[in-house]
Amino acid sequence: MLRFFLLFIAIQIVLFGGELYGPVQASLVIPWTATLARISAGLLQTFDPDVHAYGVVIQSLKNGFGVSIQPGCNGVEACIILIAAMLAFPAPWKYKLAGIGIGIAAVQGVNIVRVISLFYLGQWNMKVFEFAHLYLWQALIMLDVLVVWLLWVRFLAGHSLLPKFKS
Amino acid sequence: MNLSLLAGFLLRTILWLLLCLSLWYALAGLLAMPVGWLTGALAHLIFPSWAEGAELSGTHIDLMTSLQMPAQPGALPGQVALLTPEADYLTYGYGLPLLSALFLASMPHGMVTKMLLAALALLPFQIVSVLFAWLKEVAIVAGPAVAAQTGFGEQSREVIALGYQFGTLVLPTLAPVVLWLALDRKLISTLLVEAYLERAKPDDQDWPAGH
Repeated sequence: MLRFFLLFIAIQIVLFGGELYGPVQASLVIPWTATLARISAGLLQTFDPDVHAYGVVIQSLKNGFGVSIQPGCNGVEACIILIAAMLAFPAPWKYKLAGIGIGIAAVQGVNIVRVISLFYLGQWNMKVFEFAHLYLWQALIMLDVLVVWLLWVRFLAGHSLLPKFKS
Repeated sequence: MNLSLLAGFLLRTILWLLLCLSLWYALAGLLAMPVGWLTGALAHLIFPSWAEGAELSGTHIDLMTSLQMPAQPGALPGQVALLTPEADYLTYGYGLPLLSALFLASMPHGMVTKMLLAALALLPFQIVSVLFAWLKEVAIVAGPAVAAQTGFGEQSREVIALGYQFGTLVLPTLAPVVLWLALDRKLISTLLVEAYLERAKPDDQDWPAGH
C-alpha cells in the first residue's frame, strides 16, 4: 500500500510538472481545451443553435454570455490523477492501458456535462454558477475519478488480476 | 456485473456532498481561522525576515509582510506601501465537505473519530496550498522589485509556480480522497470480495430449478 501511495505521488508530480511545461501546454493542453469547447458547443448546438465556440470560449450569440475553459476546468488534472492511480497500482500493462483509455473517456465525458451545465447555470444565476464552478463540480469530478478507479480495481479483482498484498 | 454497492455509495456521496458543501460554505469564516493562523505562523517561521503573520477577514486570509511595493502613481513623498498577499480559504478548503461526504456515505466503523482525524490531517494540505498562493503573489505577481527583497531565484520561482498550481488544482480534491482511502478500506474490501464471489459463482442456468 505504501509503495502504491509513493508511486502515485511521484508519477503525479512528474505528469503534473510535464503538463505545465510550455511545449506540452502548446501542443497538447491548449488544443485539447479548444477541442473540448468545440465538442461542448457541438452538443449544445443540437438544441441551441445560438451557441458558438472559438478557441477555449463557448458563447451564446443570443445574450452574449460566454464561458472560457481554463486550467482546472479542462479535466486534464483529473485525468493525470487517474493515470497516476492506475499506473501506480500493480496490474498487467494491458489492463492499465485499457483502464487509462476508458477512464479518460469517462472523466472527459463527465467534464463535458460540467462545461454544459455551467454554461447554462451562468446564464441563470451567477452566484449558483460560482458555487457550482468553484466547489461542487470540482468535487464531483474527483468523485468521478475515484469511482472509475474503484470500478477498474473491481474489474481486476473479478478477473483474478490483483496481486496478493502482504498484510 | 452488480454495481449496486458502488452506485449506492456514489449516490449517497453526492447527496451528502450537497449538504456538507452548503454547511461548509455557511461556516467557512470560522473554518478559515485555524488555516489562516497556522499558515501565518508557518510563513513567519520559514521567512522571518519579511513574513509577519496572517490577518483574517471572513474567508480571506492576508499575509502581513514588510515587503515594500514600488511607489504607486499619486503616492505622497515618504509613503510606503507594504505587500499583503491574499488567499481565499474557500478556494483551498472545499476538500473538507468532500471528505465528510465520503465518510458519511461509507459509514465506516468509528466514523466520527476517523472523520475528525482525517479533518485534522487535511489541515497541512490546506496550509501548504494557502502558503503557495501567498508565495506566488510575492515571488511572481508582485514583480522583480519585491522578488529582489525576498531573494527568490529563478529555480525557487519555478518551484513556487508548480506548488501553486498543484496546491490549487490538485490538492484540494485529491487530499480528502487519499485520506478517506487511507482511513476507510471497508468499501474497497467489500467491492473486492463481491467481485471475487461473482467470479466464483456458477452461471444462473447451472442451478437446479427451485434455487
